[in-house]
Amino acid sequence: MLHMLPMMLRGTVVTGEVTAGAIVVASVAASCAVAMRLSTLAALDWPARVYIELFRGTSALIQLFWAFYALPLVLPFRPSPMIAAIAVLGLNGGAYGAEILRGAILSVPRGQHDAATALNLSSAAKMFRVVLPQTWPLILPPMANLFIDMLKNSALAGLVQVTDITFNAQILQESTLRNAQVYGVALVIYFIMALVLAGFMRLLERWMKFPIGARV
Amino acid sequence: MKWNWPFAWHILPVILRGMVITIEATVLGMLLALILGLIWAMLLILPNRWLFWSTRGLTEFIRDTPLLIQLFFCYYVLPEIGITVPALLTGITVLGINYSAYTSEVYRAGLQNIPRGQWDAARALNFTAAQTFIRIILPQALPPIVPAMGNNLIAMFKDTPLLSTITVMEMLNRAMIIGDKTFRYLEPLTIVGILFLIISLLASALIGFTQRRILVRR
Amino acid sequence: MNNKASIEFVNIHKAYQQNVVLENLNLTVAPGEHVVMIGPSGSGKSTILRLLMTLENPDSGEILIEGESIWRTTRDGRTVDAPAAHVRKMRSKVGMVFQHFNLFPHLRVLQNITEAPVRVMGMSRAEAVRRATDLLDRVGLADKSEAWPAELSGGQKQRVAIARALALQPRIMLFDEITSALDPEIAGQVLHLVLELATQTEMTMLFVTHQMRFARQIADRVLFFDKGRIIENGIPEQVLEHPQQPRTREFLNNILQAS
Ligand SMILES: Nc1ncnc2c1ncn2[C@@H]1O[C@H](COP(=O)(O)OP(=O)(O)O)[C@@H](O)[C@H]1O
Ligand SMILES: [Mg+2]
Repeated sequence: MLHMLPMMLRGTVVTGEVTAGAIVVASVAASCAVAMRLSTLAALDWPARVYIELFRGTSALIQLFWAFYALPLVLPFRPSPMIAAIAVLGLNGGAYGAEILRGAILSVPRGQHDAATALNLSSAAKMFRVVLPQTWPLILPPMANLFIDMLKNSALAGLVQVTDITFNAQILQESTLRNAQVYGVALVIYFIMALVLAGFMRLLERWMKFPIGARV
Repeated sequence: MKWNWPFAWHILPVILRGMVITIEATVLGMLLALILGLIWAMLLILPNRWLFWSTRGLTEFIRDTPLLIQLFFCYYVLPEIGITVPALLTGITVLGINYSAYTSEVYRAGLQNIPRGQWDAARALNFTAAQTFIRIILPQALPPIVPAMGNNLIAMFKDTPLLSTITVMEMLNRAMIIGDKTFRYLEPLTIVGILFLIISLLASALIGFTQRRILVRR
Repeated sequence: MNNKASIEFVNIHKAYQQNVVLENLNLTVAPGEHVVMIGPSGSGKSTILRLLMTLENPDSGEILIEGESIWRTTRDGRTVDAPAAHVRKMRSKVGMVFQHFNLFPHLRVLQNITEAPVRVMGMSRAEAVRRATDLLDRVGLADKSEAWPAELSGGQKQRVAIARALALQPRIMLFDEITSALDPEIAGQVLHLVLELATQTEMTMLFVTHQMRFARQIADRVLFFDKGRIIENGIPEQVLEHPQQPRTREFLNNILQAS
């Protein structure tokens, strides 16, 4: 039991890296996609729509296998498993994040837009100083769920040669045949990571909290 | 490497045969998730702290750990404790248990939306607890949660490719086997992706439609 | 049986967490008596009705219906918590009409009324339908039996709720501000129906209401509540026209000014 810990812990670090990297990619992708979705130009709106539907309509594992097995055949180079996994899991999460962000932005009441316009704010100022700050309390809870989903999805990276918890667990399982122990420990590690992530998101939520919904 | 149409047409039927298993796993898995989720939801509203916390703990653990590892765990550990079942059955069971943690939340939200007055009125009319739940509360709680359950169904459908990792011959597994044999991964994997895309888009549209129907009826 | 009180509250204590709502409450209601409870909001009037309907449990004290305790029975000479079957038997003696109707939105009007007689009393469906139709006729809604609750006006909903409670033939009926959610004119019609009902039956009736004219017409006795205590208790003329307590006078003045 003890001898498998170092390997599992090394895997934990990699899982953390994949998840963190994917979250960064997802945040950028979601922001860009929403900006494009909210634009009045069909040439911007449509590609964003296609991106979102494509990634939400298929499953992460298929996307990952496609990027790992099919894409290198058409690309001039082969990305490292780690890069491929972060990119795919990030783009996958970004598609879901875009829907969360868009919903939150659209739910900011008209009156807020009107008031910002009446104050003669530029459209950038309206978005960044009036609309977006109000969406935080709405976005954070579903975003916490999304990040935990992304942590769990990172386990798929172990199926394409990324040496994360899952990958190392499989190796340990094959070499020791202690199935229950190996996968039991893996489950517990993921559970603890999820609790830490959830706790962090809750802190963020408390920090960003203001009385929303009050008519002001 | 270019897309090879004849090859794609050639392998399509093989992959489509995997869809039968994909759909079988989704339907049966969801059925299990619907039943188990309702049980969890009922345990959560019973006035018993011990039941509440153990149910909470179980569903929380299920929701906070990867489905993939849950699959591996059951696939390797079940035979150790003397349970040898086909991989597909293991997969369906794990899918069902995993999603029951999500459906229970949906049920709970549906139950919480029933005004207290409905419970009061049922009590005042002297219905038993079982009658109240089955005849008064559930018929009101279920219709509004149909769309949310539909979304869970689509999510589960998209999780079925994970069953390929425990040797279930669903679509992705077939595609990978074709790829391993022919060294052409582009066509089989793209076909699987497109099939998933088509079905989930259709299903999403259907859910949007029922959602509007339910909103109109209310 | 008739020499026994219909309802007795003995030293009832009820609190929600730290909020003590009823303290040492004693109350006796005679069979067939019509008692109206008035008092400021939050004074515990609904809590009394809800306790009687077993929607709440008292923290201590005893509630008796026709001389029999709701929550306690004697077994082998000792007083013990009553089994669920006993509570159900006691509950069947009481019916209640709520402020917000609480009709079952997924059942049509007729089903709202027949559901309990069929399921709870084990009445045959044909019999239940026949009686529900009679009751609907009595509350003036014979043509609405196949309507959905959502298709009814507030006044119609409350009439259905009254019919639904009557269908179980309770010996005690509780009315908790049944017209507060209605327009004044519609409220008048519903109260008229209740007055009619009250003269036709021998049920014991408890009302919580802010309609003073109705109170005067229907009440054998009026109780004035303040902070969970009965501070005035007498015939309508006495309590409503010559209140002893300054608190009652103030409350009645406010009500008169409001209407
Ligand atoms: N379910 C409950 N939980 C907590 N407090 C309650 C509950 N129901 C009633 N109360 C409190 O009990 C007190 C009496 O309420 P109620 O009997 O409804 O008064 P009334 O009907 O005279 O307006 C109020 O202070 C109210 O806030
Ligand atoms: Mg009240």
